[in-house]
Amino acid sequence: MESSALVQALAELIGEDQVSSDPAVLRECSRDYIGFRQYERGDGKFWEPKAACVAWPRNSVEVSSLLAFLNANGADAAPRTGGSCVSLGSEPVEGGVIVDGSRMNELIELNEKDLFVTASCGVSLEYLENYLNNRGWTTGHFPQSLPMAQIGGLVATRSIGQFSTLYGGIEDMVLGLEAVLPDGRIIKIKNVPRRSAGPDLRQIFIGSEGAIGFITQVSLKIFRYAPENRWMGAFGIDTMHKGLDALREIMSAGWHPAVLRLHDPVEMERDFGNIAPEGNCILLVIAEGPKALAAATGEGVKEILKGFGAADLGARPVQRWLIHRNDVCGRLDHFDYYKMGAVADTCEISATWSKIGEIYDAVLERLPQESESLVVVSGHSSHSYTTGTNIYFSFGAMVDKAENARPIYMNIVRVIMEETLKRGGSIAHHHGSGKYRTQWMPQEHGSSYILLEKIKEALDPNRIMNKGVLLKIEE
Amino acid sequence: MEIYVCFKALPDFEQVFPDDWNQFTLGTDLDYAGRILGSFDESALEIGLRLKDKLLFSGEAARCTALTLSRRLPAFISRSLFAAGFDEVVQLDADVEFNPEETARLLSDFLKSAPPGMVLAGLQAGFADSGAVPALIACRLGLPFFSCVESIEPLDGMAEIKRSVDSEYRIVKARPPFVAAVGNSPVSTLRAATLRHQLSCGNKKPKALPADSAPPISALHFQARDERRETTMLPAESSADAAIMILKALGGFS
Amino acid sequence: MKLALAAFPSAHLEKSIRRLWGLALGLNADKCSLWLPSASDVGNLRVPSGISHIWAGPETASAANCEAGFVANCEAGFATNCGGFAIKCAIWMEHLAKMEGVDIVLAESGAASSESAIRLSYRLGFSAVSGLVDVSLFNGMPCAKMRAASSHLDLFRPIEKNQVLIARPSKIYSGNFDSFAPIRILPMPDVEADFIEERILPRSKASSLEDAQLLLVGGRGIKGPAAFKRLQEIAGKLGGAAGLTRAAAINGWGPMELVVGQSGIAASPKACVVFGASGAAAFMAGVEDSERLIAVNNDPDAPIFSKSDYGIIADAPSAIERLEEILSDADKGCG
Repeated sequence: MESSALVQALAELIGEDQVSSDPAVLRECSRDYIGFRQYERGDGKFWEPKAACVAWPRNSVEVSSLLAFLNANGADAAPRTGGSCVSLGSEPVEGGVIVDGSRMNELIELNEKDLFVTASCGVSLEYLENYLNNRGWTTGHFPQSLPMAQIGGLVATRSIGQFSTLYGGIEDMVLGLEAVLPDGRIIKIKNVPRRSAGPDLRQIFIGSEGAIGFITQVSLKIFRYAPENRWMGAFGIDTMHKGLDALREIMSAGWHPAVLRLHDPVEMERDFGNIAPEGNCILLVIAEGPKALAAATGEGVKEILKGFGAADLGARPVQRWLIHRNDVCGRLDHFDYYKMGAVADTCEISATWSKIGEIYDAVLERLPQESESLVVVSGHSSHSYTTGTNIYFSFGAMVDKAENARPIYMNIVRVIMEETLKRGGSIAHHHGSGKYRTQWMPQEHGSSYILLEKIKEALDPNRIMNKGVLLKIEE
Repeated sequence: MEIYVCFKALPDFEQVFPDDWNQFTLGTDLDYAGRILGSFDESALEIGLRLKDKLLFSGEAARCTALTLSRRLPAFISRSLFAAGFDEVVQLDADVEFNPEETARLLSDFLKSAPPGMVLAGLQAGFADSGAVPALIACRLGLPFFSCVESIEPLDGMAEIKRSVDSEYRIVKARPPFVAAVGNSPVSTLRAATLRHQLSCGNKKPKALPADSAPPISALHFQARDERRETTMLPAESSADAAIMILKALGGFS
Repeated sequence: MKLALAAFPSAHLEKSIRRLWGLALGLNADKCSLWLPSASDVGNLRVPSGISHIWAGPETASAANCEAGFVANCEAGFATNCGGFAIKCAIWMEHLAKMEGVDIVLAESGAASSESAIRLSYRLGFSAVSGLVDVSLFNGMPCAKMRAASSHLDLFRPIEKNQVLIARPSKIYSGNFDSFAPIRILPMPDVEADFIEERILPRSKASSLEDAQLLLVGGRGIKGPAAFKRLQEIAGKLGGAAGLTRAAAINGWGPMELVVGQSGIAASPKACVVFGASGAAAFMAGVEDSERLIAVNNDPDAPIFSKSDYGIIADAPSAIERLEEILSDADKGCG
């Protein structure tokens, strides 16, 4: 369908004010914060695909008629909400339609008896969290994108928050949801504490990255908000391996601190003011919940760390981190790295305890050899489980010209992906695979990749939804 | 040409807890806030390196030394200076705050023995931002002094110095040695060095030299600043509303 | 205690003296003279009655009302191998300070005047106390009040003999200047320049920011040079001036000389609108003396709101665009 006809038709469908093909608006709604895009924009270049228009449905019914129309006409749809994506996951397809749920921002119900809150996809997490905090509740979900992200996108990307070791990832928080399938059908998954009635259908949508439907409404669990009970402590520990062993010990002992982070020596120096002994890693701990439990958790963790010879650095590094942990959102597209002539970003993977340290070592060894212009590489573990943890790599490399930003960037990502896959780890811990990691998805899933194919085929047979995520595009 | 750049690694003041400002004394530990280069110093460091590059390119000898007065220079800062191209990092082992005379004395005592071709420094640096140190160094060394410098270009054994003073630019031709204080300059960021280059700088360590500093100036008092005002939030649903509200808030001015 | 006030204005001599006099009143000097090394016309200068006499430089040597017998001679041996204007003034002031036994010199800050004052402090063996914004009593002692730690702190240092105070006062003395003080002349020393040549190029007028009644400032949140251009146009229409934060200037959205804040201009307009700046203390130092402060920011938690009289939560570049439209429409309406 031709662009202008498409715009016209959508305007008739959901209203003129709800559709725009203004180039400035399109650029704003196509913005992705992956490192090389930020570099390119810093250089005044825009290589994002150009959508035909952006459409802002106001409710599920409008989403339904929109998707049904696009489906019938074989037009591409790129769903988005808050726009904090860093993985090319919400960039549109050339000539396609950006379906932006951010105007569906109704907070539908706070159910204090059954401990959940229901919100439309465009409700901002920060707004929701503040709303809940004022009433003594919390979602327990604190991703770094908190100041920008909205509920729909958080669920679609399988987001995780900084307090995950206690509250879990978004997959543990979603009680029920509503979504619209590409053919326009609105489906609802009800709110029940647990059930044994077939596979958990919520999980089809949690992490679906907009590839099989549009999440319009979500019910999230809520928890008591009692920050005054927090126990905080920071520790210095000699080596990354010792630190990872300590995390394992804490998790296997049965402690559930909310925050358990281990930053390598590069990050300790750069981000924590060199406060630990020279060359040390820094470990941050926050325990929360009922006062007695938080205190006991904190002391229990401290005791274990003592056994690892960790240096007690007090609570202040954690307090400072708590205040400034999301500052990066305010610096997106400020081109700090571009001005240094560098492309920079993060890349998060996960693996079991027996492999994670090896991956960290291998990446740190290979990258300086294979990326000539690499300036920095560092890593931290920020989400631990009884079985393993994640590593969040940070990297930066010098770029000579904008067209090289992407190849230089992807060369670094390749090394991280390869070392992770080699050891059976996962190539994406919490940003979603997006479009930049799709090429590794068959290896990521192995023989189960076919399930993704089949689900896509069943729910989006015309393949209009967010082309390029999850599944490789057949040539 | 021996180029010396005086610099300082400061706590990142924006990361300090308000409570620490409320109870601030000379001994307050702000290490947790992390350390960053003073913004003018960072410009001076990069301008020094660019001078070195240009001199080397035209076949002249040039060396860059970064000079600081600090008991605790974070290793990552000295590493990044070496990796960026400094031939030497000199660390005078004393912490002097709020005493520009003493800071200038210690720095120039070292520089006298150097002796420098050019001395660059940020126009001012925290905590005190006195802005007095570079000029005092020039006095002590008996060298010409140029303030508010934006850039320096080598020019046949001389230097062309671009200063921005009040409402004009002053383009000065001068013969080294001299002292230049770098102010607001478009050259604002110290270059990053590749990891390979950082690794090739290996274990270069700053040269730590003893420095006998006088006791700090007594009878200084500190008070956290409270800039809060009684704020009226004006509602704006759209940017058009916001524009109207701005005009309303301006009242008589629109 | 003998005090000397040193003013180096290229224009607005009276304003300079008013700034210094406001501070001098807090020092309870026994005697206070006024030094004007570079003023060109002091013949009819009115000063506060507390000024005992004026020392002026060579350009005023022909002043009609020069006090009889008070053309002092510059001693031989002044010439040095280095020095431009600043060092000339420093030597000139050093001579006066020694001749009159001055205990404290209070000088106005500025590119050349600060350098002269610092050089003077060195020559006299005095302490340079710079960045003084006010004189405050602390434990009953007059203290120099200065900003420290990027304006997070006020620092108070007792004012004592043997100090050169370099002031950046935020207040202006508004009382009457109704006296004439005797004028004495000391020629400038002859000093060789310390540079080979100097060219002067004009640059945009930062000084207009300092004196503006209405100031518009763009921070990082204005997102690009287009919004800053608009701000300048809007400021032009409203009879004000536009500046930007250091962060925005580093991004190349406007010239460095229009930077407002601790590292740039400190303004004290009647009203100031700040667009898209978070309110870091180092920036606030440039606008906090505004009578009315209005903040526009899309982040409701931006610290600048609590430091402003009015807060508007909005996307800065869009608000700027709309503002310009409204003002253009108004122009058309009037035309």
